[in-house]
Amino acid sequence: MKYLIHGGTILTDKGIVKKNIFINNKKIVALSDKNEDFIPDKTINADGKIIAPGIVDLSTQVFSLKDKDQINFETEINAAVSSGVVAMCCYPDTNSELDESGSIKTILQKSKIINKTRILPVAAMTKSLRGEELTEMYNLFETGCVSFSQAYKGLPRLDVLRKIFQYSKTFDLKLWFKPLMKNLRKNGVIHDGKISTKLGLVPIPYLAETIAVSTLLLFAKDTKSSIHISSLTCKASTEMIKQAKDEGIAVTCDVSINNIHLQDDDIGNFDTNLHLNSPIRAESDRKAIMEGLKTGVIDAISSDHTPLSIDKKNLPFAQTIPGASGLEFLLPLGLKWAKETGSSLDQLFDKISINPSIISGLNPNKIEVNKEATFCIFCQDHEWQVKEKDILSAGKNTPFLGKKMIGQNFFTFIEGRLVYSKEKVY
Amino acid sequence: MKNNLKKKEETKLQHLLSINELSKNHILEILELADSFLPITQRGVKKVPILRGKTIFNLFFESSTRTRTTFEIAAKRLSADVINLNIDNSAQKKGESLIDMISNLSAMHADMFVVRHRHSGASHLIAQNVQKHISVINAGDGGHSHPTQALLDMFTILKYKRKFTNLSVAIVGDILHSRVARSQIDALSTLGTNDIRVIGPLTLIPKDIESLGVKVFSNLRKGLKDVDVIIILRLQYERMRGVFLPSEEEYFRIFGLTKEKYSYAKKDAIIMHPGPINRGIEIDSEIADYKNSVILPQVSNGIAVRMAVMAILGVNK
Repeated sequence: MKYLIHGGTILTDKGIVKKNIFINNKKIVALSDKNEDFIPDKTINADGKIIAPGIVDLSTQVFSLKDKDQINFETEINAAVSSGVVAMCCYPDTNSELDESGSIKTILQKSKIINKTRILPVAAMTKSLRGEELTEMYNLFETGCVSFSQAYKGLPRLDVLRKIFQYSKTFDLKLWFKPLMKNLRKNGVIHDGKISTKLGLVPIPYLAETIAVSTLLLFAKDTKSSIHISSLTCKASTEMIKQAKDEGIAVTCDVSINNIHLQDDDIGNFDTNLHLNSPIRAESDRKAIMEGLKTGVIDAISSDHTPLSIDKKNLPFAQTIPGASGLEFLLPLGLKWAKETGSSLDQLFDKISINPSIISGLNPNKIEVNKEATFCIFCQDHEWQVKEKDILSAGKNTPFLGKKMIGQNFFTFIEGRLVYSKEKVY
Repeated sequence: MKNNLKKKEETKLQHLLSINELSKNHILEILELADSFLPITQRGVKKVPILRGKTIFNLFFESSTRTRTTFEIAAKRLSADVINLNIDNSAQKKGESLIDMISNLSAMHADMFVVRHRHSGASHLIAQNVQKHISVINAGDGGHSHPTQALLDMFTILKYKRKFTNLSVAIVGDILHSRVARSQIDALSTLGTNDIRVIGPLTLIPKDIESLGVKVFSNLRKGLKDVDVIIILRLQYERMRGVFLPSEEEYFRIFGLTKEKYSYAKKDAIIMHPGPINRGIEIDSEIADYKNSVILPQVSNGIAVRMAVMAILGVNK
């Protein structure tokens, strides 16, 4: 299929250019004003729109949905592709532990059949995520997992963790962590501060995260391993990571859109959509995260997409399952961050496309001649309101319900195929 | 629906979910009405027809003797029909969700739900899911709020001290797990009390409690210095998962109220306790039964205050 995309503003390595994009088969064959020999099968008018590298989401929990059938899996992929997300990392969960190669194989096959947003499975580092015995890490890696994690189950026992670092280092496998000490979190549900005190909800202290971060940094230093720490929530963690980076420890990290834009005050009268795995903390933490992204201490922004059915959220706060739907808000909330911090679109796409690709070991999606055409076309001024009925994900659980968003994706290309279009294509 | 839950200065209340939603006038109106109900409880015929024909469901998902009984008595004295639901035997045990259960009870033409639940926010959730003509009274939700207890405590303080301003109040013990303490602090602040102290070991004091307008003391004698009101809280072992205290004995030695420690307060300081009391753990028997102890009057006042709350919500529709 040959496509001509005209009128758009393109984010390239060499800065912003206004050219037409000519696609033939999988690749971009030309970026130019004219190409008279090229007869497109379809033409897309991208007037007033931005064309940017396809988004890569470093953290999703699509297996939080109990029905793991293809319909739901496909629903989440459709939500991703509609939002310009071309690849997403999926963490293991109690429903789908991803601790043996069969489960990784099944996911990769499903992803291949649906053939839209690429699924990058994050395998369990310990059997049944119990933190006691190592999984067959090399075998899982050969099957196609992108990295290894304990997801939100907390750090493994420290002697086991040490073996994980040593064993994975043998094969240079990627270790990704959600920084969490189980026995300090216990049954905590929100940030430890004036709101937990006011609402009488069991708090999650900073130490539940900061002890995990410092432990991981010490292990990384000891084994000279590179690690990725996902879904940071607090200022102290960003400070430790800055110091580690300055010392030359190979660490990268991401934060979720929720922790960039929300603070614990927003929980109001027990809004259960703010019961999250990475708790929304104080305003000072939020500001430190905004700033950490700007200075480069924080490498990436993720959606931490956790779709849940309504009955998992329509319960007393502490009884609800933590997590929020996020895929469809990654782009607009990323744009909001850029606007609020005076960051450029380039800087934003470093956080939601280029860096996540590098962290996942993928070739970054770049809009260049002879590269695969994998990009999204969005309007950065388009205003819309978050309405339950418009959310494509099966999870309608978002703290941004009813909120105004600015910026919307209109078209998504993956390897030269138009996999999503909001407007008609001629 | 959520708008119903916001603080309303001049509007009428639909629910009573926490003290936070009440203005000073709301509280004073409730206390005044409660005062007018006191004589009824001493009459031969202890009934008024204010809520005749109304159906009130007592939904206690957590055990309670005092609160449930006083709510039941209050409702009956207002001539309402009261249904006590034994939650242990109910459909919740069979897996029915809280919201489905409430919908079913609403279909039985309930007018009011009195709810106690072990989870914070349960009453808010119910209030967000009921029709407009139904009122919800929070009779205690997790560690969050217990507004009618705080109101009856304010009523008791007013009876004995005649004022809320220029008053020093000390709340002693397990503040962390106490919905009562949170509601009392909110109520006292709203009514203008500016010396509110909380006293206890730091394992039982929640973070940033100072943001609610209180001073924290770790020394009972210093904390009780010249106070007018001492509120002793029960140690809530059922909510203590983990290590909060080394032993009851050590707790009593340091934070248990004895006559000697009481002597640091003002001479006429009243001693309050929301009950049930653990003698020899948070309070010495001698002081629990002391002449300035108002623990039993608190219980009697509870009926009048709960009548007032039910009457106001019941006639607001």
